[in-house]
Amino acid sequence: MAWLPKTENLRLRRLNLADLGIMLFVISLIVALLLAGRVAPEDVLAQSGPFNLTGWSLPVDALRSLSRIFIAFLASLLFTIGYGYAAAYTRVGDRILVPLLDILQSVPVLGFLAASVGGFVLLFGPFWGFEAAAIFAIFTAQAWNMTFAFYHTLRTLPKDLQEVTSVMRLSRWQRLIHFELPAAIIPLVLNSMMSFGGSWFFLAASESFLYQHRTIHLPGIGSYIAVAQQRGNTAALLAAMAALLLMIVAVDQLFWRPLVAWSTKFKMGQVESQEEAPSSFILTTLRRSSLVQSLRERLLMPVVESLEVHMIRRATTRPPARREWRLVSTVLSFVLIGGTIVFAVLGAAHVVGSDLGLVPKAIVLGFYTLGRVLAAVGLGALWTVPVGVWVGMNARALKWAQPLAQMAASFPANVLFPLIVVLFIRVGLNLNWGAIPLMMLGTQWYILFNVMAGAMAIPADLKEAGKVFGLRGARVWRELILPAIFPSLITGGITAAGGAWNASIVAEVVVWHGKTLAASGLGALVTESTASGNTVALLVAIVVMSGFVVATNRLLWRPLYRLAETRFHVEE
Amino acid sequence: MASAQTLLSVEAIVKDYSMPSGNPVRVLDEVSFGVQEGEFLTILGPSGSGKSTLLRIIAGLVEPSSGQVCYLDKPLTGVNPHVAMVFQSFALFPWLTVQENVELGLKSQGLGARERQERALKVIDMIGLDGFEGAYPKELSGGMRQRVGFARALVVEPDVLLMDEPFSALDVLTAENLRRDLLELWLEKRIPTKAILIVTHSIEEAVYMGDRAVILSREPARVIAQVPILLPHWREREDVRFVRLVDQIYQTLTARPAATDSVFTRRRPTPVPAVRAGSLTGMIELLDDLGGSTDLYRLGDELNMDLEDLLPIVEAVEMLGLGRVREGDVALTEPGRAFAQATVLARKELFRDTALANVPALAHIRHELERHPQQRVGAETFLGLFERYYSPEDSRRQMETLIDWGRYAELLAYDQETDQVYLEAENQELQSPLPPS
Repeated sequence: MAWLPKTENLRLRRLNLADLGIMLFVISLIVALLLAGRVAPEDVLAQSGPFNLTGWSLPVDALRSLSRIFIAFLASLLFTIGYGYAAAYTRVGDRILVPLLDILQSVPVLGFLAASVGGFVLLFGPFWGFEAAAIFAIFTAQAWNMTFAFYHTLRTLPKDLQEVTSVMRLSRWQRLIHFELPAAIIPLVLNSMMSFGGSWFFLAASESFLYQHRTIHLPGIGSYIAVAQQRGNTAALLAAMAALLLMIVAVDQLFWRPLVAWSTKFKMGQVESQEEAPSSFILTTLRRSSLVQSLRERLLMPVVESLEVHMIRRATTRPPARREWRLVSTVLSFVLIGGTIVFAVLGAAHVVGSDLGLVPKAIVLGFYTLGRVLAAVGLGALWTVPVGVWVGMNARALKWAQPLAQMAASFPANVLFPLIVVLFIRVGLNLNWGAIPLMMLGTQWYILFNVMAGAMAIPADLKEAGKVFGLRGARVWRELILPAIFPSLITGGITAAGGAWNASIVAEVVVWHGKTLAASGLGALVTESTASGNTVALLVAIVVMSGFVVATNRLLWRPLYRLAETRFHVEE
Repeated sequence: MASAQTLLSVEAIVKDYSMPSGNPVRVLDEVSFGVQEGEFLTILGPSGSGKSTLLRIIAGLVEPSSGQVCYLDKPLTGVNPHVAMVFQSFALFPWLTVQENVELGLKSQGLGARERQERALKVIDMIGLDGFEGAYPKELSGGMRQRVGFARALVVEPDVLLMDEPFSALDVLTAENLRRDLLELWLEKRIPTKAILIVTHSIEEAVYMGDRAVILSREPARVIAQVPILLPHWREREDVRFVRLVDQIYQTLTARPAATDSVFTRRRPTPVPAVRAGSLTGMIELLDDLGGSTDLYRLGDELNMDLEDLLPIVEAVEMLGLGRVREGDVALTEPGRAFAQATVLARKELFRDTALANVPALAHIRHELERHPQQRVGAETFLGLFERYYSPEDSRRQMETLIDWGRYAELLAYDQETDQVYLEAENQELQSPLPPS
């Protein structure tokens, strides 16, 4: 029994180099947060005038933005676990919570921001209200797909492991921490990464917005960029872009890479995979550090342990209050449904009372934007399909192209909009057309990723069979490649279209150096009605846009997806 | 051990699953038996006989439609607190080390960390996993993984140990090794377990390990025999008594349903065993090579096939009237012999005739197709007929088998994209002289 940890060993463990590095990192983090926090007490609204674009404000602003994203991420994680659990295990779950999530995910993210600012300001006052609204907007960009991933994991837990936990008579809490959460780690990390990447896009828009004719600039890199755009300060804009890129790379290396490497431990299945496991220098350092180890053994484990004991005692002393719980959930669902109906009626009455002509107008604008969305996806596919297939079938190209594409996808395209618009002005391109390439800029990457993955997955024997039968040129494409990548192409298209709807809100109105260019479209309607404080128009615009998203999903993407699943499914 | 106390009793357990059509399908029918203290009981049955469901009812994981499970004469509700279970798939948590996996079972009992660790290490030691405490399941071989499965079950010191085909995912040598080790722990009373219940489809395994075999029939499962195994341990497979006992159980398992069976009005069609036409022809050729008749047990041995895999093929041969099973022997019939010696094309002809005569479902499909103006009918039409009596998966499987047979016999063709069965135009019928492999 050599394994028993000897306590004296623990005590004698020396601090090693790894510990030193970790301590330095923690200290610098504290310093950075303190520095960033110093700006906080000042009046936000007062800052809207002379926003500082010089000196040290950029790194501080960048850190503030980063902490906003992390706070939103934490909130998303908590929401994911709570909502996903309720959706999977309660009776209201399948009937109400899952469809609700489907709808929430169709509402444009910036629509949430526009709709929620007023409420948050009312609740928390102007300072914390604007903060909360910005964080909430980022949260809405992150939470939905994470929640779906967790819900899906809970619904597809391996049956034998479920039976084990039942025979062992583990409590609900024990099941959650020993089984359900670990089983969900991999999908959660992957979806978190995607969500996080998307957040950068909304960061720029959520920190700086017009609210009842006032320009709000929350201190942060998003506002920094917005102000630089307004003043036409190219140098500041470039500096901010460099800072953004640096931050994206740093977060990827310091946060996601270790997490991804750690998450491989939670892979289901009993076979050690032949693929090279992702590794992370940071993770190895953390694991080897005796400081972290003793923190784990002395602090984390006892806390988890005592929590578990506490929960068991609670479970045994208090019989499960099933009836009360059912009552609570029934009441809750009634409140939810009732509230929804009341608000829907109120909203409708409001619209009817003020201007009924808004609805058909918004629908017409919606078709314009729909056209742009489809054009952006189609044009995006035009170049990403050949490039993606080439890279996907070429191992060497894949090695450098994949991380590069990942970076490109994370980089918020809207930061580049003004620079491109300058070009548009020069060549005399109307934003009505110009919005299409702007939307493409942010969304084409999803298609590229998926096509790459699809091309990588073409079974070698199919390729060989193609060669044997002398498939060449156009026929290879028609009979082998296109059918094989079709499912991934559709998946990429769905994601890209969703992104394009979101992007329309920032792509259809662009400001550069005091000039405002606008296209006519639903996205522009959202932006303009937020700016002018026209709540009715805003409401109509958001509802119509959500309706468009839901309708295209049902009428266009789902049938395509089903076709892809049945007809073009390549068996492993 | 006649005087021993009845520890666990299974009383008139019935389990029905309701089909989409609303018809309930009976999986377990009035299953009753008792488990004595100190007994090693094996439950033996062909695949699909619901023996795993039975084990899960005993564990309290699945609720019976009627009947009850009693522990020391007290009826049980909910999860059975007196049992631990070993799974065919091992069912280990991949993110926990060996020791953490073993300790997990103790956690619900609210034991402290130190006591958990001590008990876990003791069992790990006993089961022969010493040195692997900190390893993850992925790093272990199949046999070592199942040892973790045993350790996890034994660490809670259950009164009854339930095992669901614990050795069938292992290779022959590893399985034998593990059987011996478990038997040793049991016979030398090094574990406080009062009874062991193992579900298996391997007759040899049952005769090697158990004190008694409860034999289940198929669809629905009923207890058709309880065979006491009184040979002294350690048992030798070459022993004449051992071989005789195995042979006897084989006969019981493969016996035609007794005459009393007709009292039980089964209106549903005989299930079509999931066997490809290729396997069928292979089996008939093999039987012909062996002189047209052989002992089933020896046949399984020769092919290195489990009863579970062998029985459906034999059943299919019998269903088509190409062979006959009598008292553990399988023999080719006259058409069977003719089939074995025919040419490829003649075989198809023979197969077509015998299939139409002996498989009513196939004849029905052919008939419907001929009647239909386009000679083309959606598969779901026929699927619906099966689904009145079988689960959707079962129905699909049977339909797939019929399509395979029908294709081989050139009785019908099938279009996967439209999911339609159709008749090929007459002139195309002879264009595929190659039999499917």
